[in-house]
Amino acid sequence: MSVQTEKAPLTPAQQKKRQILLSKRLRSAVQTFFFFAMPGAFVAGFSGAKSLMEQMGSGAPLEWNGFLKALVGLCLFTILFGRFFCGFACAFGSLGDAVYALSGVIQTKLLHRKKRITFPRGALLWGQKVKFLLLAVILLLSFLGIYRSYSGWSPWSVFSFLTALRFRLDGYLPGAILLLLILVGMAFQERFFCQFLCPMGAVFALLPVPPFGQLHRNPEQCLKGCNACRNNCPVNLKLEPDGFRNGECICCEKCAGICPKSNLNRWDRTLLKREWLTVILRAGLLFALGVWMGVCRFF
Amino acid sequence: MNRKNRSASNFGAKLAGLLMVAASIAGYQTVAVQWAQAAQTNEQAIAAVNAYNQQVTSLEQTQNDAAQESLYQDGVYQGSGTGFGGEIVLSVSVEGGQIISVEALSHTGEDDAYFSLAQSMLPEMVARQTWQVDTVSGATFSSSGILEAAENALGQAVKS
Repeated sequence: MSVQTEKAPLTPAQQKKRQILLSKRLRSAVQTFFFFAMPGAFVAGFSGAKSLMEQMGSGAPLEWNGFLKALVGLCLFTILFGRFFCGFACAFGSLGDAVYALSGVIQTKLLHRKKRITFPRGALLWGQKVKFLLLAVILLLSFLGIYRSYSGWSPWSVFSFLTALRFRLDGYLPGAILLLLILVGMAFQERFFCQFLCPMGAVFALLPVPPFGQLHRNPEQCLKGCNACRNNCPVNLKLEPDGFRNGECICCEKCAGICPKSNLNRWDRTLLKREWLTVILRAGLLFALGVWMGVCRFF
Repeated sequence: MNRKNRSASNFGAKLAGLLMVAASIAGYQTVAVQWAQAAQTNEQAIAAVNAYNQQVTSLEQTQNDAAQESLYQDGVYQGSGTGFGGEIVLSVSVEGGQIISVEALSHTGEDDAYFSLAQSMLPEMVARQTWQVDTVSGATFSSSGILEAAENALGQAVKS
């Protein structure tokens, strides 16, 4: 009769590592789900912003349309829950995560380099401001009614065609080239498009998210000189109690996973105690919202 | 403590920004609706004027057509006939092919009592668009003088 060897219980460090891995897997699963369920959501939402500017530029009374609905829906959701959409549901963001991860695997297995290329923090912070400029330019061009003539330059239009399995890209060559360049960027910098170039992200970053709606960090409890959260963060953010840059947070919750003192929390995490439950609930709500907005591909 | 006091500032700033954007959009919408209504009122007024113009043109057209169909040439014609005591002169105006007035210019030989009875034939001619109206009994001679004068006048008006 074989004796079952008792498995040694996991050490706290191992437990933490396992928790991080499970969180990562859950997030990947949710991202995959939304990639197939509503890949066009961010394009619809941003088209709402462009449509709003175009209508105002033409002097006509504003008309409610599906794009405006998507914009309002996503903004309301973001005001309540922060940029959960960015971190878990946006197809472009998910693509960026997938490309970065794949690039990491290739670098480790084929090129045998473990350490990823990192860029200076100053450059990253500067780059994060570029998307606001891009947003302003696109909104201005829409207001003037001339954005349409540049629509062939839009990489996210090309991306949304590809997700709809449309491969004829006549007139969208500039956009396709930009998309290719963005993919290269995504391979070397986590969330390259999201933090540097996404105009919808710029809109989200400017929304007033109430402090309790997001993860918050208690600075007094932090270990001196720690920065584990920031080093792990895709957008190089150390959450401040009322930081303006908190708008960069894409709610991936990697900081909460890595913090040695479990110092990053939010009301629902504290209340429900299970991270996966908070994720599933918000994902469910966002999915319902997506159906209402008419961006769901399932029906 | 300091941080807490400043804590309204960033969230507050973003909230204020959003409210300003919302207010601007609402303000724009109010103005745009007014513009659209004014434009619509203008267009309705233009349409009404066009419709009126259309009416007038078609009315003129009808009148022109009537004028072309009528026996009579437009103009003012004088005709005379013999009444009871002398000459009766009438003036007949034709416009748009229609007889629009018949007036007595002179009737010196008629007794007023009789002529004033016979005078009722003049408006009757306009109403029935012909000189051939009934004579007035009791003023036979004045009536026949009027008929003669009107026939005479309208005879000149006939298109050749």
